[in-house]
Amino acid sequence: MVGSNLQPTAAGRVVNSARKRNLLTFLMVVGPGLIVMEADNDAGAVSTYTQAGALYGTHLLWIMLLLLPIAYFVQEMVARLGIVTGQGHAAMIYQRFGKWWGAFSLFDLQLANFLTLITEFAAISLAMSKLGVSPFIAVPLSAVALISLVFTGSYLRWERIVIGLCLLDVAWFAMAAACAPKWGSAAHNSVVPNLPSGRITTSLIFLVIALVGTTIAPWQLFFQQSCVADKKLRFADLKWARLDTMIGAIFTILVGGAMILVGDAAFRHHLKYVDPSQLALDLAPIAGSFVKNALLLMMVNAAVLGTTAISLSSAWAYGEVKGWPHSLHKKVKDAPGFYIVYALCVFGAAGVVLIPQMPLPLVILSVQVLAGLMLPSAIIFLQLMLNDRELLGDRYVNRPWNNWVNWIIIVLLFSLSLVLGLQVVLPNLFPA
Amino acid sequence: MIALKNDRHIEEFVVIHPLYDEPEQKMSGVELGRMPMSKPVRVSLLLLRGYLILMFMLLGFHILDLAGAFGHH
Repeated sequence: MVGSNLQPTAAGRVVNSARKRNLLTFLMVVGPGLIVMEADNDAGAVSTYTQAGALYGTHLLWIMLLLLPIAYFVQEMVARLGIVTGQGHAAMIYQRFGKWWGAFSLFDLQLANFLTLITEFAAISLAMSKLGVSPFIAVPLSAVALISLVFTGSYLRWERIVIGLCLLDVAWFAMAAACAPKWGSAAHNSVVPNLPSGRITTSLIFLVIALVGTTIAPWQLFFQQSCVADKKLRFADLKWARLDTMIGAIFTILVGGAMILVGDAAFRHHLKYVDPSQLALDLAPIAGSFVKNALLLMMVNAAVLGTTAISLSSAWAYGEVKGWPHSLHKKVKDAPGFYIVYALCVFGAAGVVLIPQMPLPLVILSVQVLAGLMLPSAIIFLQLMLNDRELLGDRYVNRPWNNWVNWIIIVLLFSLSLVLGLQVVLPNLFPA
Repeated sequence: MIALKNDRHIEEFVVIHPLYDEPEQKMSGVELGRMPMSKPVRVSLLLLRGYLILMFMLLGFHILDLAGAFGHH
């Protein structure tokens, strides 16, 4: 808006150049895109990426490069939808597709989220026990800290703390460098598609699907749209929200690549991969105690980021559908249902993890595969809503090129899901 | 974001955090109700139903297989 009779409000900041205005506006808008992307590098992602590196070296790095535009285009659509409608994803599905599809999507989301949350706390338990802290202390303490993070009734406080946690992920670059990877072959494998052993095997297929499932997860769609709506981003903020999402996508793919490089150290030294916490111990004699301690701590950081984002996506979605107040601006007494769902997610998953003999690597891989299976249906709803001219108008509806890109993504995701399904029926479809 | 000109005609901009700005009129789906079932929407939802049915059948098959229902365990 431009006008000489407008007065600055108490909440506004006055700057004297367009460049400063743009920078300040971006800094005010940045958050949902970066957080949704970096929170996706959660404990399951740490496990999947390091496993990919440990089993296949740097051979699967090119997949990360392919996943970058996919992650960006999908999340850009939800950011656009959130800004234009001011509503969350679950609410939109209920309104535009009816109760059946709405309930189906919500049930899927809550199930996949809860299973994923179990893996987050399992990772905290594993990593902290390797650092000498009992799971019976680490897990409840983490749960209480995660509740405290949200229950302050301040969106900005939550966002600033979480962005800080996201930025801690630069430690992965230091860890990757400390593992002394072969940079030349890593760079080559990042841009030249190739298969590890020159053939497709069952474990490779599962790992590729898990990589896709961990990089683009259904909860991300719900989270970013609700987050954008909760932050009350305006139409004029769309370009900055896109930049936020793009930066987040690049950062998360780079961090994911660094995780593969850390796993690659195990591949080069012929170490048997069990899980990321064991990898940390095994790498200590080779890469030093920094890698060991940093890997364990960053596992915890990844799990904390994942837990707060995933639990919030559940709480926002449930609040939207039930019509409850659902905002991080609100105090607990003003939005009790929203905060209770968040707390139930956190405490429920933490409680399950304290049950002895959890087969963690299997649970983590299953969750990623489950997410890979569910994602195609979530993307279909997204694609239909982004072509909903009645809702979005001509200005914000998908352009033809958007649709081409999205249909390619949809076909890719469906194909991977069908391959996964066929492998269940025909286990010998690919060599072991 | 608001552009202002002060007495010295130097352009100044007021940048307001989205949380504290005036609420905007959004395009709400509440009044619109359900999406019209155009051909692309109908076909997409039909394909999605088919995909989900297939996936649940595969899952059921896998569970029965793991339970030894097909006799080769």
